Amino acid sequence: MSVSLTLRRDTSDRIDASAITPNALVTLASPDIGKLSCWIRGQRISLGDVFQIAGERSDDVRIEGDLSRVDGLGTGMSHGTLTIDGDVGDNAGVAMSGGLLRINGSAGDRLGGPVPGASRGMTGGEIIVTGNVGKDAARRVRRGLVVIGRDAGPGAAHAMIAGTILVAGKIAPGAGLWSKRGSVIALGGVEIPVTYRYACTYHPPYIPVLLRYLQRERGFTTPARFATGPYRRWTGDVADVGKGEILEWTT
Amino acid sequence: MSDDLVINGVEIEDTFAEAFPMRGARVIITAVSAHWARVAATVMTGFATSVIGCKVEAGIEREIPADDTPDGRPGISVLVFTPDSAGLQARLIERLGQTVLTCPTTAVFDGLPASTDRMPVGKALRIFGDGFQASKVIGGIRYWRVPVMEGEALVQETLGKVSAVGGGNFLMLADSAATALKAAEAAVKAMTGIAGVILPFPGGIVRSGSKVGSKRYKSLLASTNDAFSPTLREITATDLPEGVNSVMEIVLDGLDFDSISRAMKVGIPAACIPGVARITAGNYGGKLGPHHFYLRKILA
Repeated sequence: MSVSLTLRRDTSDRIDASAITPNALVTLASPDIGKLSCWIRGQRISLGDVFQIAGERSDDVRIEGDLSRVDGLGTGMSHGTLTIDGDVGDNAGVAMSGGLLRINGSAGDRLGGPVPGASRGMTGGEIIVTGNVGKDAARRVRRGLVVIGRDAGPGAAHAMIAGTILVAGKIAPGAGLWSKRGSVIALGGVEIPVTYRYACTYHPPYIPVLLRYLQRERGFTTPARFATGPYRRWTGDVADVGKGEILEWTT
Repeated sequence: MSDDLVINGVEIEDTFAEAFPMRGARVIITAVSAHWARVAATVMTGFATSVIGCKVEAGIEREIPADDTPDGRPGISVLVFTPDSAGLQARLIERLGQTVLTCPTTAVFDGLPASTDRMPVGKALRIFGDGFQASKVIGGIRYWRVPVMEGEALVQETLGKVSAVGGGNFLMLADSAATALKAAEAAVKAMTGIAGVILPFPGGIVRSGSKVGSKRYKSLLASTNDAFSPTLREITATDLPEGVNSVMEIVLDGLDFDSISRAMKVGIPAACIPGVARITAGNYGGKLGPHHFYLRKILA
């Protein structure tokens, strides 16, 4: 059994729905889910007033509707699956530590990043976005996997500590700046920061493992040429620890 | 006797093979081509015929199509067996480190993902990277990326292990060495590729089957099986019927009892060719090994 949430109406206001996580909903009956809080213009609103709720006591949660102005979905989620059919707002998957956040659409800014003031962003789990993402995706990520089906905005993987972000489309300038470790996998083009150094052109053996996993388990398919490579390996940010990498697919 | 079992004129003796508990692992080796996967697997399973002298028994289980491997490249699965858990981990670290990590283009994956009993083999091998190694977690599985001169070697952090069975066997008693070899080759061919089983001896065949200990040399763990050695027919307590001039043995190790039974069920009939007088099996009266493979029961 799963929990299904459907946005009751379109809204011009931004909605903070960071209360919606599988780990929060897994123990709650349907009426109790409706009593959770979300915020509009600084006012507390019951979740049941904003979303139509079906199902209960499940960590398999699905949300439908035009959610492009709904922020914070999946904040701090630690397990379970949160599937969103449509575009979402900012701060999705912030401080996530486990589980799967799947967005069948595009996401706004700060996907998988830290809560304000925190030193770490996402520390585990997987985020799959089939569309575009805004700025600062995977900022300060410590662990976990972020997959972007199309383009990523500026500041992706900024100050990344570890983990992996894969972008199938283009990555805007500034990717990986100040990263310590971790991997930025660029399938559709990336502007390499000046603080990254070219190492070699080779076939990273974990790339086909990752792509086959995404295809098999997540239904995220990429053309075969990305599995076979080769990739240019850039190491950086040499202004910091310098153990991060940008793997740039090349012909 | 009405209870006799005869296949193609070959008597199947009413006896059993006595086998022993082992610990087993399955390693998936992939490479840029089936050739290099096999090169690595062949070297890894070298000098691994018997725990008596090699500390380990290992062999190639089967080829794995590229579509079925974790990285989409051609693969080979290798089974490795030792009498104890600590030995299994140690042998895997030695062999993978020296024969697969060194082999061009290879990667190492676990072939027993359902096993909760894990060995940190890749975790041990990672330190070859001298601090430059890095890990990736994909689908909850950690892999180690070890920088090497070729580029990068990939090794799964842990390998599963299971309680296994070692020492399933049967013997082909034939009118000549040529016939015995031909029968054994036919059996090996029939059993090759059966899931969960390896035949650890050269080409799958043993010409020098052994008995436990020695009649003359106290330090020997094993010595020639004189009861089945045709040249000793008149000077020892022989088990050879008239007309038998050569014996070959096939030893089977398996991840479980049923795998060995399945292999013997197809291997024994394949060995029943003209010139073979009898198929029998080696045992110690059932007093040493808990796993008993009754030939006639398997073939029923």
